[in-house]
Amino acid sequence: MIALLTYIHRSFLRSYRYGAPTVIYVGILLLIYSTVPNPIMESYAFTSALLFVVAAAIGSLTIDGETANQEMATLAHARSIVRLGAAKLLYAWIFASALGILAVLYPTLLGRFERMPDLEELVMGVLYHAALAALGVSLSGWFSVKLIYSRFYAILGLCLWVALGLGARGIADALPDGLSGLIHLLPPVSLTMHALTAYGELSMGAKWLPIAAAVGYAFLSTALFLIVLNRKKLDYPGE
Amino acid sequence: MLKVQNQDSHPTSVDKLRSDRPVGQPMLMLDQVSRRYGTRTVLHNLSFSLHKGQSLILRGGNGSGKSTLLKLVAGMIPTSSGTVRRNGRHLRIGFAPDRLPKLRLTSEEYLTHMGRIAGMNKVNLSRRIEELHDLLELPAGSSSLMLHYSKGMLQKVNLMQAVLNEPSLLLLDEPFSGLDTASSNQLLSLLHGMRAQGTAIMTALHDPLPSWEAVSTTYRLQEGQLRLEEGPAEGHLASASYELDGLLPDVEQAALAAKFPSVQWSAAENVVRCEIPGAEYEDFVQHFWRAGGTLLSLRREEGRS
Repeated sequence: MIALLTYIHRSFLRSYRYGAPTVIYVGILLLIYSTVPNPIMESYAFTSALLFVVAAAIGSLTIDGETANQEMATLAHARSIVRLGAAKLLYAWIFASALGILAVLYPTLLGRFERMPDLEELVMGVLYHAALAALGVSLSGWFSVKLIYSRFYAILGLCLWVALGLGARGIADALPDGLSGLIHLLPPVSLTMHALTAYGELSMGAKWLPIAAAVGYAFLSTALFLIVLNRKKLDYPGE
Repeated sequence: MLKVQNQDSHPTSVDKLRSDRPVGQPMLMLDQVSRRYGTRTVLHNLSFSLHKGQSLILRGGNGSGKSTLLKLVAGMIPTSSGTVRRNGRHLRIGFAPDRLPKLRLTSEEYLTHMGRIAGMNKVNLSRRIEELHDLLELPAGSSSLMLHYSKGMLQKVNLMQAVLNEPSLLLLDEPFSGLDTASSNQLLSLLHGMRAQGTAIMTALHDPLPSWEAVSTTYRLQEGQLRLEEGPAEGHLASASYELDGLLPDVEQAALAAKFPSVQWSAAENVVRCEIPGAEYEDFVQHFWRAGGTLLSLRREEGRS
């Protein structure tokens, strides 16, 4: 797994595919923290939700990072499509989580908050960002060219699902009572946004619940994707 | 024994070539394998097995299913029906797709990553990468990225990654495409050597390649089915001879000369040249490799013996 991660890391960095999502995320961080003071957990709510979108993009760029022929050669050496797919998603999560850590530490170290965050806020900030990074990455596999042959429709589908996740709370309110259960199919990103904006009023259990929901959803989504990938293998037209 | 069976025919046993000597369990067995894309059936109820040291050439027009069959055998894509059985969970498979894309990695970086992913240890991997660069005449340690490589250079890297881990089953899709004559000869020598050491090799080929065809069974993929192509007749095979240039210790030279009296030997410095009658070619090459010989080049000459 380490060898696969090293290869994916070098290929990803050399391809400059990280450029657009990283520059956009860091640029927005610089913009929002250009004014002071900022509320701590409300700021983390915004940057973690934004990371969810950026992580989905990073996941998409990583899972489709190799051409079909290149991926076949890699698979011949890796010997397992599940290991190869899991390594790509894991790498995307590590990369996105690093951006999440930056989003937590940058305003703290440069004094961009209304006060210095305490240890619990810092730890929970990192965990919320990492959980939403996992959530975003876990969606990307479903909207890759491995399952949706048209890259255009794959990106469109990913954008739509990410948007639905962000707007889940509003959609739930608008749905008739009988259909409101459908909302649980959407990624639980609004749960974490709500928890972070109302952080001070929540019990410890309620603070952990959104993290558990995001990690649980990400785990299930990734596991199902890898099962489908294992059946389908590299059966896609390539580019 | 290499057996091929199509839906509408009885099993065909192919034992006309000396290369097709089965040893133990087949390395690979396809049973009634079909592959469909939508309503189009590309491969239709194919059954065949491949043993250690056997070589199979696939021919066929564009879109006939050669690449699809190689991918199925490699386990890259699933079958629509039928089963592909590989002997042993840890069967090492080398796979070279028809081309490798231009990457922002040097050939050494790329091969090091592939070798590490395959689980090779660093020392052996480094030695193997250098050896393959020498063999295919590509500068090792070059800082030039594959992004700037020509088609032929990329093909060399592609072939190097396929044989890097000394696979038991080697699958090559148009391996000679883009290679110059010297590199083609080097690749041919490498393939002969690997086959003699027991690697089973499946190759999709377009162009004629007599010296490889002489030790292989050739099939044409047509309308989703494999049809045996008539190889050179026995008399024709026997009328050919082979000229092998290589390195071999003196003691082994004497032993081989005694075992194969009809082989003509000459030497220039430490390189020996062997003129091998067609009928003895197969056995001689096997013994040459087992004796630790290094094959430098191999040419087929028609009608000399």
